[in-house]
Amino acid sequence: MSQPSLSPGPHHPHGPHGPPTPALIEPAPPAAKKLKTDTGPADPDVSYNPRFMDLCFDKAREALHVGEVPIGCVFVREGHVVHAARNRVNETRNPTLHAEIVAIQALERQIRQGQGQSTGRLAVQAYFNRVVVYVNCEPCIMCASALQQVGVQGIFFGCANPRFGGCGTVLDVFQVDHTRRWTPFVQQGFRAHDAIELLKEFYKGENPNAPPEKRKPARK
Amino acid sequence: MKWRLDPVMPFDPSPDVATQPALVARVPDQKKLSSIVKTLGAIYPLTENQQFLKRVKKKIGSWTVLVRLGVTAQSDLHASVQSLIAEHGLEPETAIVPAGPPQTRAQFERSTQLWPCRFHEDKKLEDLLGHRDPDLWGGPALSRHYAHMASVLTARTRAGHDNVVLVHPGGTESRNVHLERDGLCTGHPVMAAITQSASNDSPAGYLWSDCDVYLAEEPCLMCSMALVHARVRQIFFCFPSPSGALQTLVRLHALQPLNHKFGVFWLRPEHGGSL
Ligand SMILES: [Zn+2]
Ligand SMILES: [Zn+2]
Repeated sequence: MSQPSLSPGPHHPHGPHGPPTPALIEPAPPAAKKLKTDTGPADPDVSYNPRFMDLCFDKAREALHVGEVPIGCVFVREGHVVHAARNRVNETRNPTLHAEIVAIQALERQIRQGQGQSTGRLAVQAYFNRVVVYVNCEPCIMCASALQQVGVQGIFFGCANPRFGGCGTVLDVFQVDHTRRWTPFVQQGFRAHDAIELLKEFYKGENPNAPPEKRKPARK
Repeated sequence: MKWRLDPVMPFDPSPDVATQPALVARVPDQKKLSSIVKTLGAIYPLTENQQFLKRVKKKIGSWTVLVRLGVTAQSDLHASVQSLIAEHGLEPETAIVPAGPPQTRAQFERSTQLWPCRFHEDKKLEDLLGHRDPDLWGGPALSRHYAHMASVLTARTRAGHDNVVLVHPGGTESRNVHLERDGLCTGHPVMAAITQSASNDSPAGYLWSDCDVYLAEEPCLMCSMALVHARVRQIFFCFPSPSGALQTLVRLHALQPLNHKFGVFWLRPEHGGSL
């Protein structure tokens, strides 16, 4: 896993990251919002790469084997994987440790270790502004809001999350929370069928007669 | 200091009633009423979310039927309804009727002034709206809520700190959150407090079910959803926030698909008094 770097990298007048570096969250005027798009950005570093989604599934299977809801995510920055994580709710007894939160917190720690404890929110956001997230299931409302708050550039996800989905299924977090002045692009449906099958495999292990609300940790 | 405790209902509790136009008709001959209602029910049935409206409005010696919702011109009616009107000498007129089912008794009373409605009173809900639940507004309970919130507000006056009080059947925990140290973007008081409970093996346990949580600020979307995942019972906050997700941007506890619902309360000094 490569170390995150806060250096802006070699300067290219119009790239390599396509549009000018996404504005930081605080000063960005509403017009600078990245809009949801069906076609995705033209930049190859931020267009969908199936290899990264395959990695999510490796992580999700790892979660399944230790009795966690099988969700895995991969954070990609400038074409490189900077972090891969899986759900750790049961293991840590912490209901907030969905894969995406695990990854955000690990990266934030790395950034701040590299830059010193005084690293400001803007520096952290500048880092995430060039991160695209791959995850096999739609981020829940908590994770979608966290991804918006750190300012990730975009999200590729697999299947929809009908119980908790925060990218439009239960709530469109990016639409509702206008105070962040940041909207990641969202594309969905990648290996969605595989993602559903994997989740079914997890829920099969539960009492099939229990009404949904009585089923155990099931949180994603 | 005087305090005020209000529930944040998962819907707008204002007694004002949203309305819609409708075409109604006076029925001169009561004996024809049931066959007219039957015909109208076949041509313009009330959908599931319109069934709160009764089909007939009775006043002494006068009967009016609801012909069709959302329409005010007789010419927009189905030919067979037009002939029904002619045949029975019905007297069509436009009316304003409630647009949605009443949720509270106050809304019901306003609604029926417009048109007769069906309504089942939810006693728990009325007790909340009327500040009658003894676990919330009863003297000893109320003092406890105030004391917990006061302790949150006092603890967070230290710069860079926030505080969350957690009350569970096993006792009360106060969780101090160092905002810088606990993370810039995801280290909000709620996220940090849940994480502390997990790592300390607190008796509040892995899930905060049966816990009441006292927060200075209305939690954001991330934190409100974290409280759903943690399955808390009740949330009390003091200051609404522009990015708050329990009252300001959205009422998260109103979203239907979520498989856990909590009570939400706004607990603050009266008249926005100084702290
Ligand atoms: Zn999540
Ligand atoms: Zn928050």
